[in-house]
Amino acid sequence: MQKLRVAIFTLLTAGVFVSSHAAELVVTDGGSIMQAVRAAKPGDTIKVMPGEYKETVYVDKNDLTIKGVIVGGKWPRLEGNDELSDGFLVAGSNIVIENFHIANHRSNGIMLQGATNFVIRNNVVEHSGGNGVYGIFPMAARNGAIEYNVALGWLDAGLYCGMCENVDIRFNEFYDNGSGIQVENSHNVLVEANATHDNMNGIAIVMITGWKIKTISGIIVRNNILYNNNKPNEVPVDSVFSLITPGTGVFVFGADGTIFENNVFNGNVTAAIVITDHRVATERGLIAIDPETDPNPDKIQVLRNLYWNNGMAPVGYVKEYVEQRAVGTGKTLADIVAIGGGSNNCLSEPKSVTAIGTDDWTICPDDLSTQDVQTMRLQDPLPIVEIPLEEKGEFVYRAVCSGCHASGLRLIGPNFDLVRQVYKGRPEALAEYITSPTKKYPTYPPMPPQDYLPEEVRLEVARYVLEMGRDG
Amino acid sequence: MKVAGKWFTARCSPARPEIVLGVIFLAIFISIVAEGENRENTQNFVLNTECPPGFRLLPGGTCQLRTLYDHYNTPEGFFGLRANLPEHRAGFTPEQIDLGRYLFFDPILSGNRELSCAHCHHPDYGFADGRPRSMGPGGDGVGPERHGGVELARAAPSLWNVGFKRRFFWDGRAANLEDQARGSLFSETEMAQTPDGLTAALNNVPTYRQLFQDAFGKDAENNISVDLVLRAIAAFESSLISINSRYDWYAHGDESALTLKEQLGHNVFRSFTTRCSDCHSPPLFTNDEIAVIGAPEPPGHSMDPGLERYSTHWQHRAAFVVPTLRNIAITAPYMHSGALTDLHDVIKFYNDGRGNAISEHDKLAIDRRVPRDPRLTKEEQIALLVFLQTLTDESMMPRIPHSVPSGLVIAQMKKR
Repeated sequence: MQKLRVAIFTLLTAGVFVSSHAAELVVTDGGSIMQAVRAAKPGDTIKVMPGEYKETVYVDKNDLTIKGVIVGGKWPRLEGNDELSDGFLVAGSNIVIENFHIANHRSNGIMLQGATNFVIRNNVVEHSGGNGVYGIFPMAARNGAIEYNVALGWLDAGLYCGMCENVDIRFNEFYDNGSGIQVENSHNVLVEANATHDNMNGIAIVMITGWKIKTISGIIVRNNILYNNNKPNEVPVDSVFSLITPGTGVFVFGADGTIFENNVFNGNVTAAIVITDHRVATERGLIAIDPETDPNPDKIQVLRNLYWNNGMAPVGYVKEYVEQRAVGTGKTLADIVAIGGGSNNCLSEPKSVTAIGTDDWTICPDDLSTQDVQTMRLQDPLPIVEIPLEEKGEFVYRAVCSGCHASGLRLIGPNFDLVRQVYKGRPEALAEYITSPTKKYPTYPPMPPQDYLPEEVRLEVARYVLEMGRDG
Repeated sequence: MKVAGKWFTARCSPARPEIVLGVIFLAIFISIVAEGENRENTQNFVLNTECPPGFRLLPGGTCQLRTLYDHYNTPEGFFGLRANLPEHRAGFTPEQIDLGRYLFFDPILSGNRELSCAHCHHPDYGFADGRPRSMGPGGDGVGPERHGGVELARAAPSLWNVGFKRRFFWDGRAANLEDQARGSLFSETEMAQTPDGLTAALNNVPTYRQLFQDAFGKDAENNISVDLVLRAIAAFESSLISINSRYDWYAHGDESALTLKEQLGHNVFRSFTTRCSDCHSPPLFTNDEIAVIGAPEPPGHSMDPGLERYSTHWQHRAAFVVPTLRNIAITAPYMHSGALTDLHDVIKFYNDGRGNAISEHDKLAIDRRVPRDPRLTKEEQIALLVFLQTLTDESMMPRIPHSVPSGLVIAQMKKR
């Protein structure tokens, strides 16, 4: 169903431009993807043939599909050589990136900042030195899908969803990273059917202070398999994510409103699920103290997961906590460990799960389920905002021109009546004049050049000024 | 003719020496050429009835800012290339804004009648003062030339775009423009005024009594109150808008607005290698949050406690409000106590990695987003620098009054 919707969505958005000038641009080995991005028009598809591409591809325009072509098992490869910061950097709307092998970027393989309606699909994103930050990094990104990707070798996380909204993360594989997946200060994110294994931690759901977005809610972690996430935590000790305990399937840090349903946890030596408040981090100064942020994990629901062979050798402060609690209870290992504050949390099958620190948790109602949620993406894509040229012209008129000129009145420069008299019917000439003004009248000061404005906006504002007279 | 003379001179973006010169000539021209028309020179002060450039007059009589960013539809707190600006402080009439302009430049506000707001927030210095640390009463002159007074502990922040902020002063101790103005007016080391002194001084000037009535009606009928003074100053400050830079035109879709080198710098800026945009988040280029970055203090200065002075948490030691980077290229020197002279120094500070400017015994909770080891190449550093220069825009610069109702001497710059 979801696939069908993606297909329809793609057709619809492409369809708009097929009738005008949707084009296919092909980039071959030795060429530049960035050049194609610059040349592309909305609705175009850029096809990238197998080969090695050493450039950061940044996409600040809207409506582009950038698609690798895989020939005989050979992929197009974006190589960072540990010199380039990013492989893809995306801020536009309706951008599709698929079929790329992205390797060895210092920061991120794919970073999205403020992007909307995105699809990141079928990419392999890796760092062989293990010191890149995140493989895939949607930040303040809204309404998108991250599917069928593999991310490996990233120091902090294979995928980091920071301040995301309406995002599906599905059918991906993450291994040999810090965390497989981290979701931070986000809303309405579906993490489903991913395999996260052999990382330091499988999936972390975190609330971090110091951002303008100070809440997290609507996170569903469902049908994932999380196993053998037992790598040591290699981030520096003064990094905030040094607080994530290795050997954890799921790590919840001060986050609210997250549902864990029907996941499989196996072989995570500290615990299947660790839930903690902010104190472990604020005490050490790892995150800012922010009175506007709630430090406790609330409304966590743990529903019908399968736990098998977790918690046999906990490490770090979780180990200390488990050992303290073991005195008198006899529990020496646990599937679920909850440390510190938190309220309104529940567990569906407390008798079949070993849990420590969950005394004040309730039993989740039997009928609690996320089955009605098929996707977190929006039914309709977010609209692409293209500011009309007239609006740009009017803005310049109001913000810039009107500071020195008026109709029927002398301000700093000549009044508009005089301007209209001189340039009547010649907006091009007026546009040219304001680009690099020369002194025309001895009694007026020189006008500063408006060459920073786009050419079309200069012409538009010239028209605006000349046509104002007609309206009276 | 109702308009008393518009108050906005035009400047180019980015500022260039010839433009600065142009502005100086322009000021001379206005004083020579437009003398007959300028009511300010006749001592007949009339408040502007039109909203400042960029604003529209609402039916209720107040001005509302309109920018191209209004077209975007991002949820609150989001940022990025095409995101909305934070909510702008609105609700002021054109007259209140214009009255605030006179007050802003009038030294009558200070205890010794020598210092105006503009002495430390001067238009010629990006509404800062070009000094590493500002200088309070007792001194002479404006901006970098000011001398002889007692130096304060911190630098004057720029006022461009303060109407979008909710934290004021470097340590964020004020939550609105009025409280900020109150803090500086009644600080012994800044404007050294008292509430009674302020109201007595203003009520003593018939022109101000008239102008306050023009701006506030009945509220000012019998008395100019401290609250009305603060409100007028806030009104003027909220009109200081810089949102028409070359960067903005790039954001709105004009690829050619930035050179390829500037675009590279933009990428460096938003990359996780530097994480600049995490805190200096576009489009305002600040998230207006509190952060500890471990900036250096000038030689001989001990560490500024920042927010810790008002907090029980050691983690707030040396915590300051993230400043906007709009017009950053014209507001040197940098950091809370001006220890960094130019943008090269700032880029070097970050590129040298977190914690490089503090001693080992300073226990600071440096923000996790301060980059650990960016290792920017020379090319990337230069690109970042030129990108920061694309954030310069003073096209909506208000006009400095030629005189103020008190008749006192206003802050004039010597030639730069």
